[in-house]
Amino acid sequence: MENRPLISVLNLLCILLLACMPLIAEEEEEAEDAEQTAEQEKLEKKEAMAKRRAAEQEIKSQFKYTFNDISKKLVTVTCDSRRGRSFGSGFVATLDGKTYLFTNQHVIIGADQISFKTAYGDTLRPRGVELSTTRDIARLLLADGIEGFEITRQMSIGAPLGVFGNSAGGGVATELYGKVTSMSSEIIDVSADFVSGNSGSPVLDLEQKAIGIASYVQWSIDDKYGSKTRRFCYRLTDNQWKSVNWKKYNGKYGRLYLENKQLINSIVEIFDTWYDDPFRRMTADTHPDSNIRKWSIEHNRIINRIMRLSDKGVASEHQLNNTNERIQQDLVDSADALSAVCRSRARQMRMLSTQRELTGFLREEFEKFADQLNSAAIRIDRYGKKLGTVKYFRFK
Amino acid sequence: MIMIFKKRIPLLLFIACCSVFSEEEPEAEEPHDEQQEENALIQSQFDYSFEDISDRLVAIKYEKGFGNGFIATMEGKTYLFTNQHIILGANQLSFTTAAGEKLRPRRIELSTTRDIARLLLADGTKGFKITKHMPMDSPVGLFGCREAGDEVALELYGTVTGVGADRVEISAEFSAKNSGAPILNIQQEVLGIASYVRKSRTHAMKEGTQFENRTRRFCFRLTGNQWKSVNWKKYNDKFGRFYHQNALFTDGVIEVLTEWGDTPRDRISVVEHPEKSLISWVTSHNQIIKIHGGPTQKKRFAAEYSKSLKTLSDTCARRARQTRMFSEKNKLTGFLRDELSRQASTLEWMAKLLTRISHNAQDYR
Repeated sequence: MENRPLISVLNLLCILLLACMPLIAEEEEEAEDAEQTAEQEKLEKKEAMAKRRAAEQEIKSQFKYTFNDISKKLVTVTCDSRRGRSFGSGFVATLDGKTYLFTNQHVIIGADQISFKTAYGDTLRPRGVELSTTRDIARLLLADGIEGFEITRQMSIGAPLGVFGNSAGGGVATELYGKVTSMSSEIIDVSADFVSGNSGSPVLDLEQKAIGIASYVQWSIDDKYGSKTRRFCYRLTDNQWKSVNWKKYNGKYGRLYLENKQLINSIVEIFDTWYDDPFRRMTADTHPDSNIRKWSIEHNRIINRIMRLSDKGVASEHQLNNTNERIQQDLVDSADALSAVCRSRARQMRMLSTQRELTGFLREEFEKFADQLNSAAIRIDRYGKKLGTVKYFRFK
Repeated sequence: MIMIFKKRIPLLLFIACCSVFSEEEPEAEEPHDEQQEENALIQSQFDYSFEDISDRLVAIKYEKGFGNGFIATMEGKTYLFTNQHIILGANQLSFTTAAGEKLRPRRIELSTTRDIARLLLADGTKGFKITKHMPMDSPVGLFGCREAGDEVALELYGTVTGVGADRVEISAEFSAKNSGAPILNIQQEVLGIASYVRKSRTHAMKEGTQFENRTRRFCFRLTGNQWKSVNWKKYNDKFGRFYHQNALFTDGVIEVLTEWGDTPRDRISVVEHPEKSLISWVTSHNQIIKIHGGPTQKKRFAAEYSKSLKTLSDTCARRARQTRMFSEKNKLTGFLRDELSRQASTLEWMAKLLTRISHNAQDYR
């Protein structure tokens, strides 16, 4: 009899333990499942990669020439500017009876200094620059006697191709193989896995003829295995070319192109930071753009004021409401100021894009910048409205 | 009254940033089975091994480290080749071949654009031949020493996977510790000097491609260089030590930040470091934690804590300015100019990050 209460407690504990067991077991199972899924994904990824490499090797085996036969025509482009160093690719080819170095406009635009070196080790010194009026291609005239690829308009869907260039900006030319997956009069879609740094690489067919220039990649961020990623090359034939005074053209528009590209990145970074935490101070107080700099300084003043209010505290409901309204107004004002910076710059970009001197590539880039800035302004406005409705402080 | 949005020190940001640094020089990975088979196949094409060439492989020792080098002939003279980053900042250097012979170089010349130094040796010293030809996919071997003292032979095999004007990429899986070693073809000719290892940054564009999370290994070519003769003692005293000291400081700050990022309210345990300014900062920061870290002085703690981070940020910014100035000196070769400029960018970035955290720490309770 005396032991009954103890037995009851033990029974109760056992019941509780049994009740908890499935929960613990479930958690362990979940962890195991997650581990298995991760392992499975890793395996699938490895298999997918092995398949891609095998397909690439199969295409490579169809090529009668090797990288070594063409290394004198492959170019590594190194650009230096105040913002640092960047890399791209290029190649030597003949067109309209002359020899040119081909690369993308986006590789060289905005650079203060550019060096062109072949994979063989020779330095190339171009004499003049011509830009495609509609596509992101530049051709730079070379001295006679330099051997280049032939350019062809002949190609078919499924045809094997090789892309030879400075993959991922490593400073060396690499080889990648694939097929033509679709094409239009201006663009070819290819399956060769080229990446950043390959911009400007030649896309060659089995006869060593250039069918295009590797130019841009489109991808989706939820694409696990890169299967939705598409890679595009501009065709080199049927272009209109415009000769430019490069120093002048680059000095006038190249600098603006890079500055505004950087500005858009900064605005995205600022917005992301602010969205994560409405009271986060910004570090753009020394930003090269004076408007962003001014906004950041003013915004930080507002945040400091809010923090002081938070430390001070309030005694009545009325005071609390006033404080909340003040903070709401401050944050709305700051959002308005930032969206005004975006809108004003968007107008400038739109105006710039109408300049007659510009070729199609830069015109479209400036238009894109204007759209991005307007869309950023809309998002900031929306966020500002949200900030204007939150009750930040309440009594404990 | 409480705030709905609370301030937190961005630990994750720190940890993420530290991993960016650690990507710079990854360790050698263990080759998997298929890779081992492939390497064995490549090795079978070489009819010589480490022992046959040990008289031309050099172990370089300095105060606290070890590097590789090799002997080769160029323009009719015999030189000991190594990387500039191995010898810069060292007080005492000793050069011994893997066969045990001590070498006494007479003069140092630096490549004006690449991370290579060549040290003139006495006439008659046997050296490798250097070749300009580096065919893609051709087999290569890296030969060096693993450790100082009783040198342990290192042989790694692979192929040429990328060719550039001043460098080649190879698949032989060397680590940053093996830099300075020669890359030889099957004819015992030098293609290049193992120089650096880089891990590709992740990007959506690279997903599913061979460049996703790929570790790439680069060797500078020896041909096509411009050489500059330097008064080594002067050059090393002025720039080498500064470069070395900066590297120590940067590594130290990263070490501190990594530990700090894990437990921001705890004392920092880094108490031994060659960089004195860092140790004095750690001491004063720990003092703040000790005095104001309790539960009663939250506001005071936040202010002092924020100030302490600002002090470290200012130190980084000051060093960044000094380094940027140094990187613009005309006397520098391209390698050191690029390196100092990279160090300045890292220091500027650290200063910016610390300022941001210091700002936010003002509200840390």
